[in-house]
Amino acid sequence: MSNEALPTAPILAVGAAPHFHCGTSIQGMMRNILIALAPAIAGALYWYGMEAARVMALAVSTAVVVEVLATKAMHREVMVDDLHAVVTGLLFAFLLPAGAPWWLVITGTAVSMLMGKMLFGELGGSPVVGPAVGWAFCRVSWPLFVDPNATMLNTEMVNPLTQLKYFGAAQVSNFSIPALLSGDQLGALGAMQVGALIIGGIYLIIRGTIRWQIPAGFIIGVLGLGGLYYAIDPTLYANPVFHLLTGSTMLAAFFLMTDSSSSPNGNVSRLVYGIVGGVLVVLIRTYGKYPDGVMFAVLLANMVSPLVDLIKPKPFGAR
Amino acid sequence: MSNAVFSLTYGDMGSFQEGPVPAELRIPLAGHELKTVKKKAEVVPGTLVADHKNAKTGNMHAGIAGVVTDITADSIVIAAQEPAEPASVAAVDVSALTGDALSNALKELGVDVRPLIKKCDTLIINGLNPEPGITFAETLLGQHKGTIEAGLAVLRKLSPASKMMLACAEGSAASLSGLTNVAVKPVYPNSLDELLIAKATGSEKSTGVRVLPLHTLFNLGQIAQTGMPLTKTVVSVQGVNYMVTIGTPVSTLLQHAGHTIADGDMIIVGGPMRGTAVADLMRGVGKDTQGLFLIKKGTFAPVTNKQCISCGECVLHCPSRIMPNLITRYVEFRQFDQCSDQSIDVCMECGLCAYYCPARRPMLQLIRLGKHQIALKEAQVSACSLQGAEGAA
Repeated sequence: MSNEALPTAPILAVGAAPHFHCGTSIQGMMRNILIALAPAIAGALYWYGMEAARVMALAVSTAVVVEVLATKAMHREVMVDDLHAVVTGLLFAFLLPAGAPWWLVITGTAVSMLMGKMLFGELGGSPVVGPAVGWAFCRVSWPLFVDPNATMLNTEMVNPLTQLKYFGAAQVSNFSIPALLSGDQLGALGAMQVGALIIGGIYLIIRGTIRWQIPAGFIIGVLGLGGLYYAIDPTLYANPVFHLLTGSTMLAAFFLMTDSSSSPNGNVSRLVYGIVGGVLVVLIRTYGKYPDGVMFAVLLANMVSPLVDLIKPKPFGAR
Repeated sequence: MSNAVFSLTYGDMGSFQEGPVPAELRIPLAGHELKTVKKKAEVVPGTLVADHKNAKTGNMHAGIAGVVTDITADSIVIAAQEPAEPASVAAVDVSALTGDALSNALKELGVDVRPLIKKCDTLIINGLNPEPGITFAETLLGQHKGTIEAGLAVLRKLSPASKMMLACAEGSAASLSGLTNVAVKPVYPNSLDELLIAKATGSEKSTGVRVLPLHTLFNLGQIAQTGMPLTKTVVSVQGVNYMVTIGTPVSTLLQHAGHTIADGDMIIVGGPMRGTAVADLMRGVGKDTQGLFLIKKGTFAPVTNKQCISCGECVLHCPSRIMPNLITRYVEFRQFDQCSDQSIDVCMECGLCAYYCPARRPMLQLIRLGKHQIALKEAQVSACSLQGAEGAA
């Protein structure tokens, strides 16, 4: 056998079935999310200028560096090219006011990456969505620096949610829906670009990166419970559409709740999960201490995710 | 995402083209211990080259005139050569035979009789293309209906089934005499046995129902019509159908069909979703080879060992309604009991989970590994309990 010549013919590749693939990739999904976030980035730059650019650039670069360092420390393969760190950094920046100090941005991003992803291994292990963890950490540790009202003193824009919280539902009529959609409201730099985020979210659904169930459930939850309160007493409670178009509701509906690793997998469970998140938003805004409780609602919904994942069809042929 | 990719209807693709006239045949063997030819023996089309001990596994025959140049454990190599004296093999008229005589005659002619005589109440003929990219079903039911009917006549004499059905695409005009049609949406994975049975009977828990591929019936029909040993079959080469001599090397067939093979390409025998990648360019086409595919290097991203990102695409596409994401993670961590709890056994191995996985995880491979490990463990357990029983006795 030894004198048998090696084959000069083409050497074939082999693999296990199936041999076709639909062509999606993690990097492709993340690239789609970045494209979907582009209108909101433009909106943030329009309303807050270089301040917003500073926060976004700092958060993204910190996220990338933290992921590389953490994977090196864990002796794992560096997979930062899947762009997930960029998405996480950008989404965290979206939750901060444009005037956030540099150390807050760096600390918050590092916490987002470490406690929202790296602690649980690679992408896909985390039971909670990273940016919300980072935001909650900063909000509890340095409430003033995360508060848009406190950091953005040199603006004439008004935060609709603090108006609602401290001055009552009558203030709601001061905000027109087109103004809210265009981002003319004081708040976190990206989360306020409501119209741009809706466009991005619809793009993601069309591209198949996210499914419609979670955003739909979330919106149904907000409109449902918000509508119930509004029906009970319109002078005491805000119009549900107001809840939808203020704060981080839309960012959460399309970008945070739909985070793959922390959301459930079935169609029905996704709808339920979305509704749980939406209901929590209105509950926290109505009874909670925080004017915008969306991030806490997202984190709590993340906790429910394994439970709602138990809602699943019976396997084929099961009795 | 789109159904176009997984469509199983192609219309009548026209007559089957003639396959290549191979200079060399590699007749694949599946445990055929009794080689009836020796090296340098001269063979003609139809010469018996390998017998199988089992009375239900078909024998293998030479498809060309030539000389046996090599005999290995898994193949018999025949080099084409003009025969010294013209000889031919006598035809066997199977139409007159019944029962065991028929069964034995078919085995002699190269038919695997086992799937034909298996016990069942209802037999479904799968008139759909088995996988996307395999395109012969409509032509078989149209132009070659006579052959299929001939096969069906033989099948009726053998099969214990009291009822037979033909599964075909919705809106298809195909019909076979005496068979009731089951209209199936012609989209993969609806061509899989489990889903066909569920569709035909309306229940996912049916017993006593079996599925027979149209391809098998076509092979049977050829024998019934000619009475000659099975030496040719239809193979879909990248969607174009050829009548191919059994044992033709895959590279010869691909080149004949106008494809060039380069380094790093994959050659798939079977279908793109469930087929096998071959490592050997000279691998011979078998009796049950339905499709042959060439995937050029770089067409698809390579499989990775990335962690599951829990996107849920596999769960949403799984026809068995199990959670491949969870099961494959259990397999990775060797938690096989958990796999059983998650109903790994109902997996139909359609391959859709791996098709849709954005992390390009080898989902189906992991599931097969899990099933294999569970089977090994169960075998060990039953072996132990047998030993225990013997000891007690």
